[in-house]
Amino acid sequence: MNNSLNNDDPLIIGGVTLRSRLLLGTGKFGDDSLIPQCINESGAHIVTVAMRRVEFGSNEGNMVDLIPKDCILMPNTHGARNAEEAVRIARLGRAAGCGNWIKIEVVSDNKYLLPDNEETLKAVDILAKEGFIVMPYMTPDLYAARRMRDAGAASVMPFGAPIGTNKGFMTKEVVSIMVQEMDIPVIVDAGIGRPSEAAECMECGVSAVLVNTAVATAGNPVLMAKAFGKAVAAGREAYLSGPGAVSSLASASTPLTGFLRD
Amino acid sequence: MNIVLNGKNTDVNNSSTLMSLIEEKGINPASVVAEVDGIIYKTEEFKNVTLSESSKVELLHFVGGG
Repeated sequence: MNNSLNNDDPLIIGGVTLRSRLLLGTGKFGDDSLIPQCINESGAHIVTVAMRRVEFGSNEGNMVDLIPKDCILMPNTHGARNAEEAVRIARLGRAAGCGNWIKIEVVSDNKYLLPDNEETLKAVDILAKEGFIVMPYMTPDLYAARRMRDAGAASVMPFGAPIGTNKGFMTKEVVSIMVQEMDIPVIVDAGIGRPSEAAECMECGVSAVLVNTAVATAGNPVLMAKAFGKAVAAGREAYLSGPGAVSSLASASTPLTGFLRD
Repeated sequence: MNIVLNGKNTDVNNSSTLMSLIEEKGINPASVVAEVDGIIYKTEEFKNVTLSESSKVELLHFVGGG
């Protein structure tokens, strides 16, 4: 398993020391049997799932069986159009007995799937009081993030780009501000399409990255999952190191003495 | 007896409890989450939940999601 976290730089959320700064979604896989391998190769510790009505007569397997037992299963409230629906889905998810983690996803816009920060905040407030470890998916906004933190969110999860677009870290500037100003983890969730973009998030000081489409729809999802695991680790190490200075003028990498010439 | 199951009117003559309904539908009780008339029940409670005419039942499970 790709362990992207070191003990000197722990990411602790909800009292749990996570072993990876990559969170992995399980949607959109053309072949669900790849999910366990993708999780293992990526090193992801938190894995997201959704809740849906059972389709009677189908031969659907149990999604929970595909997720390694040492992973944290985090249901999302996808489908919720307001706080009330999100809270209902969260309570149903917890009743399954897989823990207290919940990703709040409240979307009423079908074109861009933008999260509704106002309704999300209401859900954070209710669910945090009920003991959930609340991870709200949100439209990047420092004020909304602070309110969610004050309401009990364990982290905030601003999008990098709209869900499923693979457009990359389009919200870099505003998320970078959030990273500077927030004292709870900022996790970029949605829109990240390549490992290099995940590394870019981490180099900015983002605490973790959640990826789904970029792995599930890749040419080789298992290989892509592995790449994302490495990229998140590499980006974090680069952030901890701090980059070299950027200059407008060239500066030779080789000594300017001892040239083979007069 | 008619109930509303996952949003559809359904005849469930042979199922008087939530557990018997789930078994009648061929579902593994451990894989499903249930809500009856707005109340959420855990798996161990299924056998004690009695269904009545027009009960509104939701049976859900985890699927892939981001």
